[in-house]
Amino acid sequence: MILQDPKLIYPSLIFSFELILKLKIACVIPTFNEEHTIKKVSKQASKFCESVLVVDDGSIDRTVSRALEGGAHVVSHLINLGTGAAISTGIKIALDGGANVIITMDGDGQHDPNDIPNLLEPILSGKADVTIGSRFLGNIECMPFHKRIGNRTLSIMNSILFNEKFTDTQSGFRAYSREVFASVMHESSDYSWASEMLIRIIRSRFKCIEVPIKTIYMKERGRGTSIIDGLRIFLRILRLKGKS
Amino acid sequence: MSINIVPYGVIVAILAASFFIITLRQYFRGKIKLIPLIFWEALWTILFITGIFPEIYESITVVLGLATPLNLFTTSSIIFLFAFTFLLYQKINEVDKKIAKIVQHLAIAESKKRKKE
Repeated sequence: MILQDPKLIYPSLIFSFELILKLKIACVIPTFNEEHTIKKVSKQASKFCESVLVVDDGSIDRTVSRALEGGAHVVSHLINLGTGAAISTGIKIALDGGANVIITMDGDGQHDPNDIPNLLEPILSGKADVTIGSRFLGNIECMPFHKRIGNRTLSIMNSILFNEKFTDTQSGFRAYSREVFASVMHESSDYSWASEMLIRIIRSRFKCIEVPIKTIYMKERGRGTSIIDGLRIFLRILRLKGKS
Repeated sequence: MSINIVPYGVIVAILAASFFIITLRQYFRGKIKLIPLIFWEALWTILFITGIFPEIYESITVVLGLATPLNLFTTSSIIFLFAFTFLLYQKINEVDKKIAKIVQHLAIAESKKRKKE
């Protein structure tokens, strides 16, 4: 993909055109049965990223064909392993492909690809190695109450145990500079990857900041983290604390 | 040694004998190996004897402070089952990780193959 004038795409960024040309920005989107949303998400993400990599985690619907229609490169797991495993597969492929910056985001339409420049700005300007898109720094009116409580609780717990304040530790909308993965990679296959990755980043002393992102919740979507997932994440956080 | 059977002992003996036969059949069908067979058959034999001749374990029962010889067996079984479940859980976790590694490796290999094409 030939990059357009950066001032049109990233108006808030102040950097040289040469820097943009040197950078390869890859977007990793883990998916599981997201045929209704993945085409639009892939298409929109491709406006800001040189390559969009959709990791199909054992979908049984038309996710793969819809992602291909959206212009994404698709990689498939033979069986469903979990979001964490899909993201680590995507990151490995993106790194192999020479990506300097890797964005991770959901394929179910919960993340607005137009927020990608906000995530990129701190990394491109050298302020951070990792940027987390925080729903809690923006408007969370549409977030279901039980998810608000669950996310908040886990974020507060993370902050207390690891002495770093974050408002949205469960957000999967993140940007990483390549150097982070030289020493950090999560092991979890499930939803607890988000907390685990953040804890490992904190321990490795990489600079990590949060930026506000839009919160999008669709009423008909009944999936996402459940109370059992929340418990698993909580136990994973305790285990990682115990290892320190 | 006198046979001092109680009704509960009869049930236990019948169950033990049934499982003895079932385990042997599983071995001949190739579903379990020799060493696990020996282990399980020994277990069923001990259980059978406990049901028919409970007085064998009376001295052990008295020393350990248990009410009856069968209680000795059930209590030991519960402890054994906890340990076994823990080992199974660890094994399942290991296998889970190996499966994830294989699936990811296949996906990455497929992706590299497609890029070359």
